Amino acid sequence: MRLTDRDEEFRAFYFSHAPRLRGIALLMTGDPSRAEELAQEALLKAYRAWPRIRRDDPGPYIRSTLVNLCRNDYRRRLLERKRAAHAPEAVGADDAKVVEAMRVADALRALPPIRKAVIVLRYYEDLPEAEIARILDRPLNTVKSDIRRALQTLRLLLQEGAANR
Amino acid sequence: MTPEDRMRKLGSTREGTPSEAEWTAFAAKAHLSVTRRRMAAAIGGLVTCLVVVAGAYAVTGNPVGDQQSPGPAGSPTQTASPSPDAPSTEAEPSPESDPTVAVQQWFFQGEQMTVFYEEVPQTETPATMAMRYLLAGQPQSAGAQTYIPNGVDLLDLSIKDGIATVDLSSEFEEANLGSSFAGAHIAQVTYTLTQYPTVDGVIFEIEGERVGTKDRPFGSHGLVMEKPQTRAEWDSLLAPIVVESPYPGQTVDWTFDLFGIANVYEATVSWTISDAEGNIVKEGFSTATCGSGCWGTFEDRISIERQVDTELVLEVFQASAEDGSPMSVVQIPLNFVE
Repeated sequence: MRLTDRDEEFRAFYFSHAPRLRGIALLMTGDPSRAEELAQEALLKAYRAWPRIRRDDPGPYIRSTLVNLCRNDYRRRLLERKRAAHAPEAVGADDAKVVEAMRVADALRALPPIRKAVIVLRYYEDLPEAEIARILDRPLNTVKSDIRRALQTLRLLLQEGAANR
Repeated sequence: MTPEDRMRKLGSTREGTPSEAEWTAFAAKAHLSVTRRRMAAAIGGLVTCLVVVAGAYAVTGNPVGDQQSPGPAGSPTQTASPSPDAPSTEAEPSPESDPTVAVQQWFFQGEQMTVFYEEVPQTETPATMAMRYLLAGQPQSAGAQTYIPNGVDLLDLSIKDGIATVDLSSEFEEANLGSSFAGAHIAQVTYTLTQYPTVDGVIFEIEGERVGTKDRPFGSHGLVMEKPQTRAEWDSLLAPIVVESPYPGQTVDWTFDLFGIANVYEATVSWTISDAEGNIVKEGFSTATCGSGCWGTFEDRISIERQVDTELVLEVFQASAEDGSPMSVVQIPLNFVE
């Protein structure tokens, strides 16, 4: 298909999805500039794959791609953090929503990336469990236990946080 | 408010819409990435044809269509400019299904050669693919350098009776390397091709002519390589510890095999596995077949208990002779199966 035709179709997809993807990546990484890069990379991949994915709903494809990118990024960061203690950047985020997302991301830091992805898709994206299982290619029961355990971890942390105060 | 409620709230508020300018910038970038891939596919197709003619099927692999490769850094001489309507060869691997294969590429890090891996869609014979990625010279890992000049084309590659004959364009010979790195690019190609068990040695040709003979020495240093080049010939360029398996980012079982090449004090290769906080989950060591001044191979089967956190880091190193502190550390982040 011609690039101009592809653009026409992809344009709508871009406008409806770009902000959502940034939101997911921000919750996964806690870093606005990296979230922007990862979302952009996922969109570029979707653009290249467009002739193949356009017929079905491209939403799950791009979410799956984005989550994989975030997990790879996490792995890379794991190394960097080991090399030099890396303080989370306090970027001058003036948007209240971004600040709140960064705070939530901070609370999610105790979770392994895959569980992070599961609960971001569940609560931020408001997706049903079956859909999450499909996106992450994970058994439905595992997704259910992921959610349960992730919430347990978060509750525990909240209590600890309260107790320390 | 619980984190899930806060996420719900974030998710239910409307995001700002991207601006037209953002879209325009994105579209420009997207076009570029598609055209680059098409170029790469066109060039890849050409190389595949040559290889098919040469009958290089010795290495297992199925040469199928749908080529994909990174934009080669310097192949500006290729004039193939596919029309925008060319069949969509740029298909992206779907996130889960398409088979990918991890390809070794040997690059330098500082003054030492070591291995890098790239997971790539399997599109043609592995050896050809590995060469193409090596020549493109853009490893994704930070800190990797290549001594292969820009713009070298793979003209032919055939494998027979354990010997790979690789024919490269003349740029390969024009590498301008200091005397201590003379042949560093030969070493990179030799190690990259001998990653496959079907290849023991490599013979070099430039534009179809056998090079490195007494009558036709290779490059400005006049290298003579009468015999096929093997790994042993170039091990002096290696880093003290090179881990060939597992590779960074690999998904492994809770029991997995570690192996590599090392030249370390008392032939003792140590390893640790630690979590994101730096807590050591397990440690051990392996003895290389040779050490304290010679190169040997090492291997170990590592088995650890299932952890909650499945993303752990394997570190392989030697304890210094002086105070036992870790030296020549190789870090490999791993993803354990859940």
